Amino acid sequence: MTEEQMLAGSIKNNASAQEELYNRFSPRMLGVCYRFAKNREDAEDMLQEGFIKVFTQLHQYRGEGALEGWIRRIIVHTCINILKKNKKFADSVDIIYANSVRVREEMIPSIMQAKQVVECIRLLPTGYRTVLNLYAIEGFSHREIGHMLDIEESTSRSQYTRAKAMLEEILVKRNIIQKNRKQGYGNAASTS
Amino acid sequence: MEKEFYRDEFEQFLKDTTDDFKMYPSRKVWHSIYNDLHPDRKWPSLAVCLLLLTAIMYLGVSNNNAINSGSKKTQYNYLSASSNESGTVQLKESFANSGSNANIKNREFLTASNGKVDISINTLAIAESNNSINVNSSPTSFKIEAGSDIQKVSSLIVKENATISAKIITAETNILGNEENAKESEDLVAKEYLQHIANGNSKNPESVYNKSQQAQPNDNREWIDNFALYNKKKERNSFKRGWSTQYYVVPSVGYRVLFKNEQLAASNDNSFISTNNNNDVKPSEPNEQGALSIEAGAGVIKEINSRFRIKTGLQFNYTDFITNAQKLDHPTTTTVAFNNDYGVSVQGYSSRYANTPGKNKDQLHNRTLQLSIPIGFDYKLLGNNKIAWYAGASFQPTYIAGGYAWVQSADNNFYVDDPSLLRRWNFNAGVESFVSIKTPSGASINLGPQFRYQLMSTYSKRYTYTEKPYSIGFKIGFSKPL
Repeated sequence: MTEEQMLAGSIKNNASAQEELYNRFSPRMLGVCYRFAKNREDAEDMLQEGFIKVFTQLHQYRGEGALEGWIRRIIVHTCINILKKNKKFADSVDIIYANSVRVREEMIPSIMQAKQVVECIRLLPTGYRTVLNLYAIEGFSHREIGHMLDIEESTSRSQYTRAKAMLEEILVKRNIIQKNRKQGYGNAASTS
Repeated sequence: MEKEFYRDEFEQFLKDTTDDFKMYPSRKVWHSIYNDLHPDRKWPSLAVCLLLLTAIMYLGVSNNNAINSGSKKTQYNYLSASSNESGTVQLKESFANSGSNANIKNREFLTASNGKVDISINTLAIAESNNSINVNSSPTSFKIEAGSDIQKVSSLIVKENATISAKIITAETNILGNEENAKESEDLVAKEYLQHIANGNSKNPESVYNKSQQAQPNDNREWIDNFALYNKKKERNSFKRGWSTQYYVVPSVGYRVLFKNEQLAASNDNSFISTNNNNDVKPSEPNEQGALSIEAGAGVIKEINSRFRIKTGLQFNYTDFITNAQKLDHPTTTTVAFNNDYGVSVQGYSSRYANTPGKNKDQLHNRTLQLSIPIGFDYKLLGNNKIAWYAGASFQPTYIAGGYAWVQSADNNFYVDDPSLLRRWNFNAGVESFVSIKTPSGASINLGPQFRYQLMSTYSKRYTYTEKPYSIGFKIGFSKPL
């Protein structure tokens, strides 16, 4: 089934087309959700809610840009909306809270680099993790992040700076990357 | 600059490593999405639920009947004794119906030659297998052999006595209820004989039998009365007294009433809510019709007095009514009006169904699945123990487990489905009138009309219309004392 057929079928509420679309994009989207969520169950809830939105709003997709990017944006917004429903989340993105957070000391399963990096990101406190995900990986500006999370732009910046420093420390500590200012960041295995 | 480069490198590294990161969701995620997108295809599971509920009801009712008929058999199960020439005693279970003495013929009594009897291990098994004997109605015998320890006999007889006492009470009831069945008192002779043995008087049990043979019916009755005095039937469990279980199904037809909120009525002159660009096509009033709905439930009834009883339980409702619409060839943008603090605002939607005349007629089902806890009462208007006419009412806190609600666009031209507008918690009220007919088994069949009305709107307060569905149905129910 081509992407056009899949898209047209899904808009017509054709179940098999919708399933095809879901099967094609859900693994990567669950990866996105997992970076924001506390655990896999929460990530699956986010994915479910996100895909329901995707299918109900699919007729609004104008074909401008890749379909995956459009879906990803909806999924990310869904993740943020779900996180915002949690009262503790509002505190966690607050700048006062950000001064006193610590990294959770947990074992990271060393399966593959992507998985390791994602698991390291997930060790960050919720507020840090959310801002870092949105800025560094999803490519939102601090202004957009401030708007999405109902925080000041400056708060987003400082949260990100701290998140980045903390993540860097974790990655180096876990020997996933080597810090080398001249050469930038690289894989510990390949640079050592 | 170095800082900027440093930052870009780090972000690029993160993006590169995490972009291809995939995880495979469990299958239940897709099932949940599918159920949300296609609620109309969930109805097969509704049918399964209904089937299950019906099966449970059937099992409940038939189980009650089985228990009842089982106790009935016990009621008419009499012990008799017979002898054989080798000097052993056989005790037989024989089965006889009330008013029939067909199985109580060959009764003779004989004791072991030296008056000391023993009961072999088989006896215990027989004593404990009374139920199976009753069920099979097959005579079973056991031996009482000479020259053994009397203590064993006593302990067994005591065990038997418990059964015997209960049976004698039953016999008394029968005889007092029907004087013509006085001959049934002969059955008691066998039991008296057993008691005789229990008391260690195993030498002359015949005297008991002879006494009975000479007795007149009135004497028998006196004898039974005296015996019954000391062997009273256990009082019915006080907790169960006045309680009944009930099971019911109500096939019905669902409709609704729709009110326009004041704020929307005031805003109707405003052009901002209109999305109908074709001024020649005027929207008509919603064209609706009733649809099959169903209610099923189980619960308990507590009699307060001879006329008034209260009831509660768990109830499942599937409600539906149909909106006739025209299916559009392509999705059309429209708006739905919502209440806000300042009046009415509109929100954009896409619709595939119009409320205008057209060729592509289609039916939109407004379905909901509801779980309720009805709390109500019944009042007996007329009747006796056999047949009675009741009027009843109930208040039903309700949880809307799912649904498919078609709301009207702000200009009434289109229908839009938005499940998020469904109110999850609601209240319903039901009134009913039914005839209750008591069956010989003690269960009652309840038949009569029922009206159910939803007290709060189907939709959340945001939506500018208030919808209150109602249904008119016919209740078919069973109730059975605990």
